[in-house]
Amino acid sequence: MTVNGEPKLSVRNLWKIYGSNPKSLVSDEFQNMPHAERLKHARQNQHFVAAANVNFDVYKGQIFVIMGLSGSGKSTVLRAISRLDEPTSGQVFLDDKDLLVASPKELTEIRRRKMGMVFQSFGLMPHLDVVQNVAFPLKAQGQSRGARRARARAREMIELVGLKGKERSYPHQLSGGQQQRVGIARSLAVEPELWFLDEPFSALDPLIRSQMQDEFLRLQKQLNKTIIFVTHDFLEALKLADNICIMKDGEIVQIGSPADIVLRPANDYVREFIGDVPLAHVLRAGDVMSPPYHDGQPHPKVVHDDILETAIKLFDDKTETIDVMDESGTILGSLHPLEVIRSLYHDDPEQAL
Amino acid sequence: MSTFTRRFVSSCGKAWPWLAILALNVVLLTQRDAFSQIVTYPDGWTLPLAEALDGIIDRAVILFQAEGRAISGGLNVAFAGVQALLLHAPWIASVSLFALIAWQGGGWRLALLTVVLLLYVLAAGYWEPAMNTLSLVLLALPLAVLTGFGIGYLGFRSRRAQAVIMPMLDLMQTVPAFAYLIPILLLFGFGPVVGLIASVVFAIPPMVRNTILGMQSIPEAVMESARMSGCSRRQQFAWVELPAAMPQMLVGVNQTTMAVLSMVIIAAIIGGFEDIGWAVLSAMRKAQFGQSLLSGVVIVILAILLDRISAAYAARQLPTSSHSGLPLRRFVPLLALVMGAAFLGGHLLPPLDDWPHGLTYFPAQAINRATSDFVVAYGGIMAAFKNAIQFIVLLPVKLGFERAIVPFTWGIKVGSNSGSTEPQPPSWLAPRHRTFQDLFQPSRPRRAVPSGQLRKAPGDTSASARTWFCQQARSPS
Repeated sequence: MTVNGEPKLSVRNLWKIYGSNPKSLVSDEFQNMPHAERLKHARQNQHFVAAANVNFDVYKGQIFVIMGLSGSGKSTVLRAISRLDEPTSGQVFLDDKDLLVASPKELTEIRRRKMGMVFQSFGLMPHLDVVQNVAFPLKAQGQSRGARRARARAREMIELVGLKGKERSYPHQLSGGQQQRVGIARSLAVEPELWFLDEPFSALDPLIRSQMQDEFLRLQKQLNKTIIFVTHDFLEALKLADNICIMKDGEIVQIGSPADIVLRPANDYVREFIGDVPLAHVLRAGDVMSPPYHDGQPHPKVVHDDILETAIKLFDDKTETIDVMDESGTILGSLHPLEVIRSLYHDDPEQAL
Repeated sequence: MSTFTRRFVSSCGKAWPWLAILALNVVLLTQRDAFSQIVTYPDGWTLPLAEALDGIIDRAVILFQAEGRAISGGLNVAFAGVQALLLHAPWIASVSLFALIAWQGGGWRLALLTVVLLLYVLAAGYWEPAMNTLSLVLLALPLAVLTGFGIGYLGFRSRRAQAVIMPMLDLMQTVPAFAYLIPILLLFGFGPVVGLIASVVFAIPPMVRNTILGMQSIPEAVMESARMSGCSRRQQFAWVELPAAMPQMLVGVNQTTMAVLSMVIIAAIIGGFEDIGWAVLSAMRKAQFGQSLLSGVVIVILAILLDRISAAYAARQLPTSSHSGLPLRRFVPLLALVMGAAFLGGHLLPPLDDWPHGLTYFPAQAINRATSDFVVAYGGIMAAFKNAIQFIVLLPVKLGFERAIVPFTWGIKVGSNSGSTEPQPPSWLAPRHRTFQDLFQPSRPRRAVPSGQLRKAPGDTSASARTWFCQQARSPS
């Protein structure tokens, strides 16, 4: 995804500390300590640093994935941005407006108009059927008068997530995957600018999960939302993200595109995740191509977005070059067997390139 | 040092509180003849708690009696209204009202059950006391449910409030009702309203508990999704908390209904009037087995109806339920229509207004006769059975304990009975009761209180309340 213009959402110096008096802890001196010392200092004062000095930008139409193991602070960051939990300090700009200083009234209005959220445990109202659940945020917007319009919008969303025919079912009558589709439809009902997904697929079976991921990508292609997606699954992050932010102990370890992370891990912690990643599925042709190679012969072609596996299958006895093009057909570069092999040999990918 | 000794010593270190208690016991045992207080708790040490409480209640009664009487006056008016509706309306109207309510909650089977049971009550001639009891229940129920819901919601929202509410609930449910019936009687005066208030107090706890439980078991994500949808605090209450907790709260309504019914019946003992509890009580006092059995059956019928109907409404709230009844906007006109027809029918046909006497079946005399016939016919056999148990089982066991098992069985040899010359155990080891016979047949009661000499504490503050009580009891209310 090409990045253009101003960021839609900017997070600056975001801190979330749990304890009796967290504000007293965030001094300049504390902020300048190395992270391990900060954690120790907080622990000695009966406090817990859940998110430390988090900074990132999310651009319009981008899928920004926050990835980390449990306790890494990834959900904390999301909850702080949406103000489900009040952050200790920092700024969160949505189109130049700081969300953290918004009054309760303004915040309610922002949530009604601009935010949608999907929860790991779905959070569907048990007493409402599918249509009513999806229409719920519209009701909160005050659309009860135009109830017919709200219902029509809800039906449209239900169709979008592939639940047509289940409109009158109650949540307990649906499978986990279906319930999460309802959750997704509900979060999209108000056409939010910001779409938060907090481990939306973690509670689902692996097969359903991978289906839902594909569908999520299809939806995003259609809707082009600005997305913050939280997950503990590194492969899921690689599959979905335009940008990944890896967190550990409340601190950001690395931010980068999936290829950046895989090819240039910031430290051993990140490198450990990459260990069992099937790189041919993650890396894309555009990530490993070299400048266009012209030998006057026609080469097989792949799109820069295609995964390496697609390209590898095109190599044979006679083909030693594959051209990489963009969507319009312009040649961007070429792939050669040696480079492809080296990029897949991930003990030291940095050196391999 | 061997392992065993080491272990023993180290466990002694842990066991020192137990050793201390043991030592204390030995000391107390040796001193028990010197200080009788060790064995018997001295009367003089009893705290004058009852007197103090009496004083407080007296004060409270004087302070709040006017308010109490005002409340009971208001409740009396409301009670008269409900009673007029249920009792003075044609029976056909009351029966159809309950049948429709049952049908709306649980379908035609429940409606049929309701009609059959109510017709039995009519036929058995208990219609009036049953309707009086029902009026009390129907009046106490909303009071208990609304108060309980309010307290429960407060407990759900505030942890501190919950810390106060929970022990209060335990108190309300465990203190015997008779203990607070008297202060209520003093505050609110005689009459059915006393039973009403007592049943409200008694029936609040299940509502509070179920409200708190229902609210607390709403998943966190549901609340958060409401917040993220931009719900205001009030919208969150009305659209999420209330409906999501509703099934659990209706379980509370069901339990509260049953608690109200049981207390309304028990309250007949203090506020007796023409209700079904009073019918049981008076039949029992006159030793009329048939009458008390029949009125007991009516209580069971009321309990079944209230339980089934309120449980049906609770089950209907679950999303799994198949029966949903009519929507309110169609049910209310139907109800009005049927009630109108019933009133008209009662007006035109007197048998539909007052149950005809000819149709009453009151088998109390028959039951009484059957009971006495049974006693006469089988009295001999039953007496023989009783005597057989007495002589073949109970007496031998008793004798065995008394005679056959001598102290020797227990490893203690008591000198005086056996006339032995062996050295006696030290006096503090000798059993206080010389023989086991003493244990089972103490020669005299431990503390005899001569009748007519009841203890009266100096400055008995409850005198004023008692005088008032007697005056009230004498004057017809």
